Amino acid sequence: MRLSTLAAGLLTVLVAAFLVVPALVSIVAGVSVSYSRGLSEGLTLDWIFEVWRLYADTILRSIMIALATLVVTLLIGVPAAYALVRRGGRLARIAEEIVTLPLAIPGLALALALIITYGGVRELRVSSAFIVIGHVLYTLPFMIRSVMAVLQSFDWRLLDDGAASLGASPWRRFVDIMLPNARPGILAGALTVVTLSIGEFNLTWMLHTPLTKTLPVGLADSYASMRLEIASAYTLVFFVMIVPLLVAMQAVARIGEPRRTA
Amino acid sequence: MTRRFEFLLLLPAGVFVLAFLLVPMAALVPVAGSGRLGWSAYLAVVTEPRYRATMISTLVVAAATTALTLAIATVAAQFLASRRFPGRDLLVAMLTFPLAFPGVVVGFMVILLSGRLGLVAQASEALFGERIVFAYSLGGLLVGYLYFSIPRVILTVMAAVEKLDPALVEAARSLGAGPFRIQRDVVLPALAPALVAAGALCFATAMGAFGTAFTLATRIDVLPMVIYTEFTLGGNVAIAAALSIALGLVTWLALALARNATGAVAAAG
Amino acid sequence: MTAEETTAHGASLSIRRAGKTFPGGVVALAPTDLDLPAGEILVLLGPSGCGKTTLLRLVAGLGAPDPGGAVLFDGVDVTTVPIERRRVGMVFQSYALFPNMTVAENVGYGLKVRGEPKSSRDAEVGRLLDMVGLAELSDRPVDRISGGQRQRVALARAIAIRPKILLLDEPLSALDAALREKLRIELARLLRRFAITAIHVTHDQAEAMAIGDRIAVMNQGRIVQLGTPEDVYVRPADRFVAGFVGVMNRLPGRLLPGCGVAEAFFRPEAVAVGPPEAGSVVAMVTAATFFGAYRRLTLDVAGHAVEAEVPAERPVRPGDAVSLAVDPARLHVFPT
Repeated sequence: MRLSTLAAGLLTVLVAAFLVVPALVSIVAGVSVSYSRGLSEGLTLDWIFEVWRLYADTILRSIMIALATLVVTLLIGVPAAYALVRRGGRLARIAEEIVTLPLAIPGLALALALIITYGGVRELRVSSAFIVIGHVLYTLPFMIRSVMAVLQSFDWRLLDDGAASLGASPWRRFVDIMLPNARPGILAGALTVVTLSIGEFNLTWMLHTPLTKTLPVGLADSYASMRLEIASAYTLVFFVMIVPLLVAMQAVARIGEPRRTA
Repeated sequence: MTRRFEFLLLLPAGVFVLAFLLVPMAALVPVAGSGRLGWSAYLAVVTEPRYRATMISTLVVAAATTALTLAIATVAAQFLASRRFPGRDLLVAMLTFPLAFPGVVVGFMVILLSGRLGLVAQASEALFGERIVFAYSLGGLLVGYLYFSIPRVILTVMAAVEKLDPALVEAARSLGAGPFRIQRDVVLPALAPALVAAGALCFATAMGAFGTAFTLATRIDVLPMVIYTEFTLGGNVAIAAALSIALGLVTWLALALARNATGAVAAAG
Repeated sequence: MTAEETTAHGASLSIRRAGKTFPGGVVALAPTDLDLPAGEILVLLGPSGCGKTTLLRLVAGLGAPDPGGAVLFDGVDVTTVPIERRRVGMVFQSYALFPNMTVAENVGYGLKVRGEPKSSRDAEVGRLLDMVGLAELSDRPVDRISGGQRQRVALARAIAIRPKILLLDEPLSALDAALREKLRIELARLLRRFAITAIHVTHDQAEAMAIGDRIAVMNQGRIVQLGTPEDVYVRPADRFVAGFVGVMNRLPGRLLPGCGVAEAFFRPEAVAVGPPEAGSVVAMVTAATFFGAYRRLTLDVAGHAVEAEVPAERPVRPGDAVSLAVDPARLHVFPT
């Protein structure tokens, strides 16, 4: 083996260790009786229960917010993606650019803009819906792009013409032909939206109130004020929620690849 | 007929984006001019020494993150893409699993690595009798941003490396080029579009990242932290708005430049 | 075959001054008139870009004609009726089968959209799949059947809605040559059996001959000849038709007796080849290919290549000098 290859391999392994070791430490710390005295003190699930006692509401709220965000992005994002692909041309590109803007603007700035505009509406400001709005803004581009990509991967116009020639109205074609054939993209988009929503912090930290804390907000709170074992156990809970979503995302990406039109 | 159908499909998303993106962003503009500094708040990021220093340090950290991440990802992606060996899939999984970690969790990882009770502190105490702690400084922030960026960039670069025609490298080798020459003359030019796109994304994300800095310390002066403290602690909405707009412009510009350079679509978190 | 199947159905079609200009001013179709009685199969034949697909899409409702043009089904103006309400059966070049549905679901989709109850729908789908010989594949996903089978699913799907007019857009062009030849005959048989008004677009003149009751030869956005296959083959209207349909020789008129300055067109079978004699047109054999029933010769006539057919038993070889005569009844002369 060449020296340069050996060095590259070593670097790769070191970087992998850099990424994995802290996460492993956190997992171990979350189930250790005492982090500072090491594993010799034994393992325990007490910290997990403690996290549940202290932060169950944030975990459940994050799940609810993620699902609500998913519903909204599906309802407004999937039709919008189809419209943009159908319409094409310069106007559609400008519309796509605008929808994608929240990816280029830091979450903090977006949150500030939302608070300045709608912070005065008390019912909205104190409800989880305010956070859902922020999450939809941030995740909508991912849903739209994912669906647009899959629509562009097959000859949607041909299938649309085909269904039209058989007497199907535009809405019927959308429901019967476009939605089923765009399913891999919708699924991939949905997983991305849920994953991003559960982990979103930048917007949420600004938008939340003491009564609408989410999981990442709770995490920040525990990192600042709780003992390391509780913070680690809480992080472990987060890992357990997020890793299956990531695995599913990669599985969907693999299934979605070999597609063709008949 | 078909126009009306497309309009109706787009309407819900359009109303949402208008109400919760365009109107609020437009509202940010006059707010920024309403404070003690008036419209010159927009220039504060250049004229006020404190904000200027913050802007510079934010740019430096983001640029350093981008350069280091690209270098690491280019080496690792080529190592992983060009060969199959036992444990390769595991290695790829290890390199990409922090993909969806929010900034706060990344901050916690940095604390576990280089904080007061961190691995580096324990190791250095055992070896040199002295605890090395750098989590709560700009150095710690840089480590955090690397932790955050490496998985994303590696994925992009790996995809680009896999599309690279192996015959190019073989041809260069047959002509007698050494590994460094091949990198400089063949591989890097071929990867350039992907590197520019991924680098811009990495830079924009690092500019706007807030969670990591927030977790590590409130003392680190990067732009998002300053916006946050001005808004919540100082109650200085105007400056926060002006700095937000400045920050948004920088990140948007970075992505727009990259897109013009590559034609690819880039996005920041 | 029941009586109902053999009687002609479908609508008559009239096209009145329908043209199509694309943005940018490119005229894809000059204003065109065309009448098609119910039950007739018309083939639009021409090279790519001649406007045949554009004309087909105007009939389908996939594009609107320029102002002033009209499309009528059974005398009723349908120009502004969108495709989904025109009741045209369309077989697309790449079939446009729905990958999310099985063979039977594809065929039954048009009936489902029309709200036909499942029982009668299933019966009709079964009947059609039987007819095209795909009954045993009805539950297959459409990406698990062959190209030829897809083509027949597309045809059954288009027929299922009992269309007023069946439109076929180069339905055989996605298949390889051997299969295309086989399915050409099959398709001609099925279309006769459906006895439906149909327009079939192709650039393949053999396909046009096999399928059409009449053929409209198109060139540069116009119908240049409309007639039976025999008409088009035997009496080409102009140089383009003469050159496009079938194998055709062309010689400057001065080389043949009595043709003047015009250009002469004639088919290989119209050429009589004899021993060289004074006063006749003399040619040199450059190639001779044995075809079983006949021998195809390539002759050199004053630097022009001419194809001719002679009985297989005539021992003509490359290098032989021959005389050449063309049957005046089968000689077409067009001014240059």
